Amino acid sequence: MNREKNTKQTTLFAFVVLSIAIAGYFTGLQAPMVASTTSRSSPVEHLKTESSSRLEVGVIPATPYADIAEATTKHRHHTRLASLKSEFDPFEEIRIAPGEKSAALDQRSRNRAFNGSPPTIPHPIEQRSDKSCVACHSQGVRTESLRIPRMSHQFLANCTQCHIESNPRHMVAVEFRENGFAGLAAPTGGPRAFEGAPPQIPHTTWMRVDCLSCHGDGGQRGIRTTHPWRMNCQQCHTPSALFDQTLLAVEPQFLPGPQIKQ
Amino acid sequence: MIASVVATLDGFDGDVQHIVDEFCKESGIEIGVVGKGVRRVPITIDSPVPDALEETTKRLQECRGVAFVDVVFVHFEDESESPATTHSGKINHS
Amino acid sequence: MNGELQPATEAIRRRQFIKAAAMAAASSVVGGSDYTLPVLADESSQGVQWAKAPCRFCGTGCHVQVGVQGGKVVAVAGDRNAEVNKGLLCVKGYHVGSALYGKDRLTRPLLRDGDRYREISWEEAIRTIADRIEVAPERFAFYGSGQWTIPEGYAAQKFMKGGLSNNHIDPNARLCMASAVTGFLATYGVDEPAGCYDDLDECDVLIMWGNNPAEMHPVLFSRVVDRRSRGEKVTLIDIGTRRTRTTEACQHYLEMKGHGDLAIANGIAHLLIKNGTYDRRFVESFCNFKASDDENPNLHGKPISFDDYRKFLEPYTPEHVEELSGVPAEQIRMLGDLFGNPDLKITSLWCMGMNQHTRGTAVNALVHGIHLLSGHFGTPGNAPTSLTGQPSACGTVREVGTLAHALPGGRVVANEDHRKQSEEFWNIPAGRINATPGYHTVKMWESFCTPTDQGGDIGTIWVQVTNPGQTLPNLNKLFNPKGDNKAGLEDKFLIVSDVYPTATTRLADLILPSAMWVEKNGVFGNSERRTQQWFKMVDPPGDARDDCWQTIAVAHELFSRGMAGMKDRDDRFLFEIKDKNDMPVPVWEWERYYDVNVDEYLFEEYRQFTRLKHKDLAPYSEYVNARGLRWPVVETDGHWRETHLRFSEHFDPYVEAGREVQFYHSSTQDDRAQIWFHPWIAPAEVPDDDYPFMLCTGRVLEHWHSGSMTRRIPELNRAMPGGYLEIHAKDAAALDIRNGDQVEVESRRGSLVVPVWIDGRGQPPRGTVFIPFFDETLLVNDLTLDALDPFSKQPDYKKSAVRIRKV
Repeated sequence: MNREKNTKQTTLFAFVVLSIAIAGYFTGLQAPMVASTTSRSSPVEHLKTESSSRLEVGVIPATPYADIAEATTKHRHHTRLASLKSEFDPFEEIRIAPGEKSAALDQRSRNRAFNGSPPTIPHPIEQRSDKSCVACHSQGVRTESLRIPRMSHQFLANCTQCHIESNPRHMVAVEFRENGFAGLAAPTGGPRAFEGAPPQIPHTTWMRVDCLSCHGDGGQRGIRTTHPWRMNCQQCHTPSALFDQTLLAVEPQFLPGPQIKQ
Repeated sequence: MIASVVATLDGFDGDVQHIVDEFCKESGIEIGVVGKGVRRVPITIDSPVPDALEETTKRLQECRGVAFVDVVFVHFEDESESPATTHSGKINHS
Repeated sequence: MNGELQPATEAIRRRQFIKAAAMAAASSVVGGSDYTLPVLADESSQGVQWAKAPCRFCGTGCHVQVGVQGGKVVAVAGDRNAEVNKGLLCVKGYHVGSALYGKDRLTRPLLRDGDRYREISWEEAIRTIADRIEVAPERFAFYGSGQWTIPEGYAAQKFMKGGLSNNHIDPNARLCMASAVTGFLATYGVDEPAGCYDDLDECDVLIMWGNNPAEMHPVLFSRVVDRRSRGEKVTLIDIGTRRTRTTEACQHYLEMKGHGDLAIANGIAHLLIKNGTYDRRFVESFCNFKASDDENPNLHGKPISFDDYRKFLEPYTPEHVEELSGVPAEQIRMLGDLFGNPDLKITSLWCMGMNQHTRGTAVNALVHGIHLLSGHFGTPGNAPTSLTGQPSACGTVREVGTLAHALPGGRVVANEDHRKQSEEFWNIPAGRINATPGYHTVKMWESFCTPTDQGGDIGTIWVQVTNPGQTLPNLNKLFNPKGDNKAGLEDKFLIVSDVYPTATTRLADLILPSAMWVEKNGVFGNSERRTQQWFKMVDPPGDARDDCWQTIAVAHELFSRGMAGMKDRDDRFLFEIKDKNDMPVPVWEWERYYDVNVDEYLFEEYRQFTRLKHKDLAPYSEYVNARGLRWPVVETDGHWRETHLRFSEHFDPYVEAGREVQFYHSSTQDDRAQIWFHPWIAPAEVPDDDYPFMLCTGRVLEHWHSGSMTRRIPELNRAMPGGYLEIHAKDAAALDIRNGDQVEVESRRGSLVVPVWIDGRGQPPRGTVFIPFFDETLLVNDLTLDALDPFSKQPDYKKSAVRIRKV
């Protein structure tokens, strides 16, 4: 009993350290482009990872983004999040509390100009390489403190073509000219044929091939699926032709009904 | 067979309890949390055979104060009831 | 099966889990929304109307689906039916809708009143312009851009050359792709690429010459790199002057010094001949050889023999090329081997690196030359393709010919036949069109910024859809002259039509608010000869109006004052536009402008011009239904068919049967293309002891050109807030500069204080620095050199010597 408690504490401690290490990804990665007042010999500041010996055994050290592309295979092995297990309980009963859905949608809208636009990146990035993006977002993970969504679309090789930083570290984003663009809001739910029927997908499925990216275990509360063990989403939730841009040369026709004499 | 249904109440006067009492007469059902002022009741039905499931659902439907019952979820026990799965298709009719 | 092996407790737990899940499902329905579950209510589409339009930004020509709700653009999606982008966009494209809604949109005509402006009516604005023109039509100039839609550019062109007999009309594209034009003309006798984007799907090797498509043409770049994700093998080679995002995706990075491209191209040709790996049959059947004629420099040059050509190339050994370009001889040999391999399909891409170059025409011709010499031409995947930076640089500037020397459809003012044909199409009196070319961009602005009594004979410039106050080279010389010689410029008058306040409106005497993008009808022509149409979807804000309307309104004001040039042979208004019942519509009245589709009317008139150079366009209605069509679009069997590869049998309907490849506009009239020799020549300015760094300028992913639109889009501006200087870490260390320090960058022409970003977006080699030009408060063009290419008159923004000092 005592031993078990001990293990639990160790796990908890390891987890806290781990969370901090991961948070390190998002904070101290690149030197911000603010002039330093003290004189240093190195012109470029990369906050190097603390030696792993100072960390608890079994804790994965965080590698700064800037280093990921250049990291050795061994180094990168540590940084791959595949070895990081999501903190989620498959037996957890998922309830959607009132307000959680709108909170989740609100959260989503914060780094999107409109529903359907590629989200901006909330953390600093390595400027020239996409390898570091893929290192985390190909898999995706969720822990108590951190949610790394996995790509909702197939692998596309030029990540920064569509996703850009929302808060770059190289320069302070000073006030810009105001813009009155009011983006399309996210739908709050799909239409159902009748109460209790599975809702239709209320958004386009283009670039959103992997439903579980947002609605899976790693998704935000409020838009997570209540039935994560069902793997074939589109079996019950159908996409709407309204969002499908496929051009039909002619409008679909139906056979005429029977002619009934009056 | 496990299924869950949602009963939507009709002519609802706030007295959920007595409708729920009515439901409880059924065997193999569990009632979920019913919030205040909510006019829908989540229910699971655990039954050995598919037909019983259907029967239970029908009886719930006939309870006083129930507008209709929606089937939300049906779990088919594929290992023990594999021969029965063909029959279980009937569930969809309810 | 598994169930039987599991202990009973496991089965029970499993059952409980399922039950819990079942309850969760039921509860989620109950606790889900507000219980008024709509029955197939169409909440999701929310009344959004979707329609197609080409993107407003670069020359790639992606199609977007624009979502409009309540009279506003609310969303943008990649158009999956567009061949160019196949549903993908770049970050600028996704946010193009926001470009309409910057809070400081110009909405009223503003007339300068001392140091301030006062709001005036459109009537007064139109009268003011007409007054300036009427007094001295020959001192008026029109400055436009590759963002003019085809009908807008056509109207401006007709107004100037067909109405005012004035050829002072030039576009900012002069600063952008003039050398590409002269390169095509010198080689094929006719402008614009033979290949198209389909080559990117086919090529085995893609060579990017001074090009960073990962940031500037991301959709095209993705089209190539995504092939690798599908398991295809494609070799990417970056020949550049600094490491960029493109470099990271390339197998080979050839780091060259400025003008190294001239040496590299000659080095490849040298190896092809020395190794005997050039395509003898192709060259003997389809090519001539040319060299520049120093006594009479023009695009015809002088013919040379193959032996002459071989002799000229003799010095360009890989080792010598290494000396000139800085690229290791081994890598030159690699390029020689690639071009020497007929089994490989090779596509070359370039944009500003080769065009903004004082030997731009030469290097363009050389790259075409190595493709021809090696026979990597005329089949899918084998193409030398230049890209453009503006959405209609090809459509409006190159095809409509809004250049000082050109007439629509590849005609030139200097050619009497061409003038006659144009006068015929326009139904204007013979001799109306002036035979002398007008001023090219740099000359036009120099003349405008020179006092009249010192020979500055341009008195009024009307600027539409561009921002020369930020993008002309050596801005200081033009707009901030030293001493008091600005005093002589009081009689000059600058008219600027734009959508936002810019570095140019700051200088303007009259500011006109314009409609943009889907606030008006439009037609663009992209880099691959694709003509694209869209309809107006939302109203412009306030009193903003279409640029095309502004031109027609001024023309009509002059017409009503009796100016002869505004009348055709039958004394009718130059822009008489009729409705379906053949009744003229007074489109110069704004309220009536959209009573008829002016775009369609002008497009159909312009279409007549396109046959001469076999750049045939289809009727307007064909473009309404298509996601653009690549010219020549020729009607066969009742269908309008586009052309993928020009000059190539089986693709181009104008190539005679059995000819295989036919350059039917050959400048030597023998259906052959010209392979040019041009020597390596040093850049116009090279670093020395006083100015030890080479300054390169350019763009970044987030911002488009001068940033007047993209800097007002919050997502884009947050990602890239302002200008910066890239410098090599060791150079920075030597100057005691750290990330974020402010440095003063000084050239012989001006200076600028800018923050430093080391190891940032790009990584220049030692001795080179880079500053993007989007920031209107950090005008890098105060520093740039105004030396021009002798043929194209295009300046070189990529090579200015500077010195750097920490401040």
